[in-house]
Order: sequence, then structure tokens, then C-alpha cells
Amino acid sequence: MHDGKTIDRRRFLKGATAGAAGLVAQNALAQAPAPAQASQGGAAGSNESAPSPAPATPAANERPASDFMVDVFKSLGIDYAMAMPAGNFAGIIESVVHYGGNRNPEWLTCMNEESSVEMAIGYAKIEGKPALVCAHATVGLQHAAMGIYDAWCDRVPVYMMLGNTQDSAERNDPITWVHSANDPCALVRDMTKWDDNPISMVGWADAAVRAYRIAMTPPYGPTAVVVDEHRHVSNIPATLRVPSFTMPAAPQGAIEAVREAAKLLVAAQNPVIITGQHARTPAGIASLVELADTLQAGVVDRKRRMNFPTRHPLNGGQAGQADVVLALEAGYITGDAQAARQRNAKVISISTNELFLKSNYGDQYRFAEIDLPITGDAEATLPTLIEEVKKLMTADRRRLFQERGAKIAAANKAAFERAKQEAALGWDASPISTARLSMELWNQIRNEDWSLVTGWVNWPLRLWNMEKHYQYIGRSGGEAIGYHLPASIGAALANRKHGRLTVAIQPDGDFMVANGALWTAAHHRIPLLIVMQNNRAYHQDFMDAQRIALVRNRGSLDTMAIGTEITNPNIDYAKLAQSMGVAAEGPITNPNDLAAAIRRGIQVVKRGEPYLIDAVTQPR
Amino acid sequence: MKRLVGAVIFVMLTGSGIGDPGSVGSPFFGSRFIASVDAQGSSAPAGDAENGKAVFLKARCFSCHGTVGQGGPGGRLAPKPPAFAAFRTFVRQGKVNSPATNRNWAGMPPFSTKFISDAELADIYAYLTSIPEPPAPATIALLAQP
Repeated sequence: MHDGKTIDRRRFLKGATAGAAGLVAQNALAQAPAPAQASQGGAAGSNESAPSPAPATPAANERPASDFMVDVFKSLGIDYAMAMPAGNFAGIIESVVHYGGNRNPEWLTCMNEESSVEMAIGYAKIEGKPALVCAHATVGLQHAAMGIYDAWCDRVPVYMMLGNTQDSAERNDPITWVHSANDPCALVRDMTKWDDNPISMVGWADAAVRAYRIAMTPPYGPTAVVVDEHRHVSNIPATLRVPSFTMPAAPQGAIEAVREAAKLLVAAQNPVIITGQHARTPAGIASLVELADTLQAGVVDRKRRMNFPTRHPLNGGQAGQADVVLALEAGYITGDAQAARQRNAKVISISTNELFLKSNYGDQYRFAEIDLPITGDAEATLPTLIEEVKKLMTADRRRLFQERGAKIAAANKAAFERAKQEAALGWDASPISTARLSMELWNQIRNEDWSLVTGWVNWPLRLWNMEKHYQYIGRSGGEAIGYHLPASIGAALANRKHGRLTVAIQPDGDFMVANGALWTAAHHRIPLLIVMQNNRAYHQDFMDAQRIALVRNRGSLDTMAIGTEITNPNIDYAKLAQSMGVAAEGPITNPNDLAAAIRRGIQVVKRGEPYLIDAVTQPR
Repeated sequence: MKRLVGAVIFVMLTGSGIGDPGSVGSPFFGSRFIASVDAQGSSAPAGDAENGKAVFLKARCFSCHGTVGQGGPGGRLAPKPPAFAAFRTFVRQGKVNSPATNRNWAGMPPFSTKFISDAELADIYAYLTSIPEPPAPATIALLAQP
């Protein structure tokens, strides 16, 4: 849809490509179809310019449908809308800005739908609630799919509205036809919790509220509702009511099973707790600390979220030596379960994983043989488990637990000392070691209210003091690249109102997938310090390709890196950032230059703007 | 891989004898050769540390092990690399990651002489043995009390 000011980007592209070669964008704009006066519904297959639905002035007892949609978004507490624009939801943009005052939600301009979704993921991981993502239901959704898969695998709530021309009688030109689908969400149904394609605005309102509630009921996940291009710019009765909305309590494990778990844990000689992402909120961290302290049990935190303080004396433990393993939303625990079975250990799992699964993708992992599977949200179940454990405590058990805890604390301390020794290796090397980079950054943020929003480099987990839920948010759920930059920006957006100093250690290959997100950060003044982990290669892929060549004993050292290195030319990330309005410096190859650069960067970020430092680093 | 706990003895074949081997990239590598003797008494052949560094980088050993052998996805190689015999076996045979299928999909890949000659392997070993001990964490301000 277009009204002379907003132009459907896909029609814009058509205008550009239909013109003579070398046609400049300005000419393409001039050639874009003229605004239609009314939606008449041309014959199928018509080559006429696309008539767009023209908003009519509402009668006294009417109001614009998209204004009503904004009221629904406000009722849900949506603070931000993230989108690359498309004509078939232009009414939402207009209503958010001119009816809603561009507040709650505030509209953020994104440059790729994948970035929109990844930003929303980063935002939700910090703020604990979804942003609104709008996308073209056909061509935009295909870009968005990777981000949706990340959200699905990572159990992150993402709330999407997808513009579509539902009625084939209203698809009046070839582009609208190829930009429409009968069932748009089919593309992502294997990786969304729920979707709907409502016809009326009454149906849309129900779907919009239901989609939010489903996304926010553990296990969290993405949901999508289709918005019809024509219906959402029409007028509706002014009396149409915003549905009332209450969030359900999170599902807890059955009490009988929780009591059995408590018995096993208290009776165990060496219980170990494994967590992946049980802490949905700060309460999840506090609960696990209480349980670990009560049992004096080691905690193996696989850090898909910030679950347990990194310097807690019980952070660590030997899962392979446990006689009882308690897995909390642990994700992949097949290997732990197999090993436990071989040594006659018991495995307890508390997880929502089996409450919602789809069949196509492998995020359910290989079947894990669990002795006591408890279906329920781990964070919601922990208080009951702690209560049941405390009921079974005796003085003898407490004494034994204290001895156990002292051993774990000693091992934890030794591991910390080992980490420091390993960090010293290559300390002065150039390219800069990732340990040095991490510690230069840590040294300057440790006394701030900081938030690390990337999860690729491992050193911060070993050496930084992480305690709060926003100090670490894991990495991408789908383990693909293209997540970290936009997710960092979304997380920094969430941190902005809290005044937190947000920092990211940004891999270069990931950066290049969707670096247009930098412009979004600059345009919306989102404060974020990005320190590049610029190792100039897709190193994992290099290792894989090299291994195959060497096993096959062919090729040469000169040909091993073809297809996997990012050199010749080296990318100048500072200039790239500067071109989009982000202050930047680098490349920095001398580790001794890093501290001053970080200091300069923090000064800019504290002024409310993003800053990028291009640090050339060791591969890992 | 057979593990050899090797007390690597540095023997300076030229130059001023045993001393601080200097840092990576220092002129030290241009003029000195190193041999070592592992715990089982098998000597490492003499090698050119400077050329070893060049081959180490060209073969992109650093991709897994870091440019100064500090480790990463692959194990730490320096300072004090494993005994030469074990090192040679590791490089030539690789480390089969999946014994059940005899497939090498994630471990150390095997470098045949087609890629790294015996002389170059000795050079790489010389490079690794020349890499000095890192400073103690207590002497690095950022690691003393992180």
C-alpha cells in the first residue's frame, strides 16, 4: 500500500528494475505507482498499477481500524515496535505515530526483518516481555524466518504482526499477487507457538491478545497474527472493545513428583544441578542460589541465560560424578543422562520442553532417559522444591552438606586460578587474545551497572563477576550467525531506560550478516559499546573445511582457506560504522592500545550513543 | 594419543646459550635453533623457529591453537609443548574424534608430508618450544584481582 508518501518497498524495487539500467533511486521513486483513489479490486492477473486501499474518513460512529489496533498494543504494555516498513501494514505505522503519539509503542526503523526479530529477542531477554515486530507476510517473513527460528530454539517471546492481502479479489497487480499468500504463517509454523489469520477486526483483537498470552506463557516462544492490508485501514464501529487481558500463572510441576525429587536430592551423596535457562526472571537466580545453598550442591550453569552467579562458591561441580543430577530447563542433557545411567545415578528434570514441541526441527534433541521427569516451569517450581527439601533436612545432613560444599568451593577457587593462568597465555600477543580483550573491557566496566549482551567469547563467563539477570543473556538459540549485532541493539534498547552500560563483544562474521542494524542504533540513539572480535574469518567453517581436505589428503595450504576467510580486502569496520552514523575507531592490533579506546568508547556511550571499536583478535 | 609427560630440555645450538628466548616476533627467532629431548629420551630434530612460526601461520594451526600456541578450540601447545614424538604423532595421525565410526569430524586433522614436511614439522616444534612462559597472573594488573 502506498499513499504517495509511503511506498511499498517491493513496489519501489519493481519501479527501479523496470526502468532503464542505471536509473537512480530518485527516478525510481518518480516512477512508483501513483496513489490509488479507491480499492476497486481488479481482475486477477491484471497488469494495472496496484490500487491500494484508501482510508476513508470515519463516520461519527466509526474509527480507523489501525487506531484500534494501537489501543490493543497499548493494553498489552508493548513499548516498542520494530520493523522494516512494508506497505501492507502501513496503517499500523501511521496509527502508532499519529494516533498513539509514537509512544508505547515507539516505532523503530529496522533494515532487515531478521534484524527486527533478533532485536526483539535481545530486548525480551533483558526486559522480560516482547516487543512488537511487524513484517510483510510474504517477502518480509522470509527474511524474518531465521530470527524466528532463533526465538523458537531460545524460548523467547516474539510478538509479530504480518501484513498480507488476504482476499484474492483485492490483489490487483502482479506484484501484489506474488506478495500475498493464502496461509502466510505456513512458512514459519514449525517454529512458532501459535498463529492466526483473522478476517474481521473482532477476530483480530481476539487473536492479538491470545498471541501475546501464548507467547508469554512458559515455555515462551514466537507467535504471529496476519493483518489484512485492506481491513486494517478500513473504519470500524467505534464501540469495538479491547479484550481484557490477564496473564496465566506459569505451569508448575506436580507436587508428588516434586516431593520425590526432594527426597532424592536430600539423600544424595553428591547431587549436581545443571541449568540451561531456567531463570526467566531475577527470581529464578535467587531461587537457584537458595536451593544450591540449602543442599550445598554444585551448579553447572550452561549459561543460555544468567542463571547462577559466576563467583558463587558452588558455581561448578562435576556432573559426571554426581549420584543425583537435577536438570533445570537444561536443554541438551542426553549425554548427561546416558552417563548417569552407566554409573547408576538418578536424573531428575524439571522442564517445560515437552509442553510444546514441533516435529520438523531438531531442537528437542536426542531422547534423554530421565528417571524423574517433571513437566513444569523450573523457575515456577523451584520455590516448592526448596520448601520440600527444607522439610527433609536434618542436622546430620546439614553437616554432611557443609563438608561437601567446602570441597566444591575449593575446586571452584582452583578453577578460577586456572582460568587466570590460561588468560595470561598470549597476553601481549597480536592479534589480541580474546582473554586480554575481555579483561581490558571488564576492567573498565566492573564498577558500572553493566550488561554484557553477547555470548560468543567464553572468557567473561570464567573471569567476570556476574550476578544480575541482565549481565548475561546467552547466545543465539539457533546457533546461526546474524544474531549478535541486532540482538545486542535490542538488549541495549531495553537497558537504556535503566541507565545500564551495555557492552558487546561482536564477532565479525556475525556482524556482516545484518550490519544495517548499526544505522538503527545510531538513528534511535541506542547506547551500546561494541568491541569487535575481528578474527577475519569464519573460523569454525575454516576448521571444518580444512579437516576434510586433510583427511582426504588433497589441496594445499594455499587453498585451504578458500571460502572461509574474510580477508583481501580486510573489512574496515570502523569506517563501515561511521558511514551509518556510529562513532568508531580501529582497527586496533596492539593490545596496549585497547584500554584507551574502550575509555573513549564508554564516554560516548554514556552520552547516549553507540560506539564501535574494531579490535583485531585471535580466532578464539 | 599416547601421552608423554615430557621434561623438555632446551638446547641452544647456536647463539649465546640458554636464556630468555624472548617474545614472539623478536629477532631471537632469526638466528637460533632449538632441539629438545623428551622424557623417553627421543630428541627432537633441530628446527628453525622463525620458519616454524611462518609455517605454523601458513598452515593456519592458529585457527585452533592460537598464534602463540595458547590454545582455543584446539589444545594449548605452548609454552612447553608435548614431547616431540607425541607431537609428531598427533600432527601426522590427527585425533579421531569418533572412534565408533573412525571418523575425524571434530578432532585434530592429520597433516601428511604433502602439507607439512618433516623439516617443517621440526621447525614448528622449534617455534613452539621457543615461546616463553607467560607472566604470572599476579604480575598482570588486570588478572591480579579481576
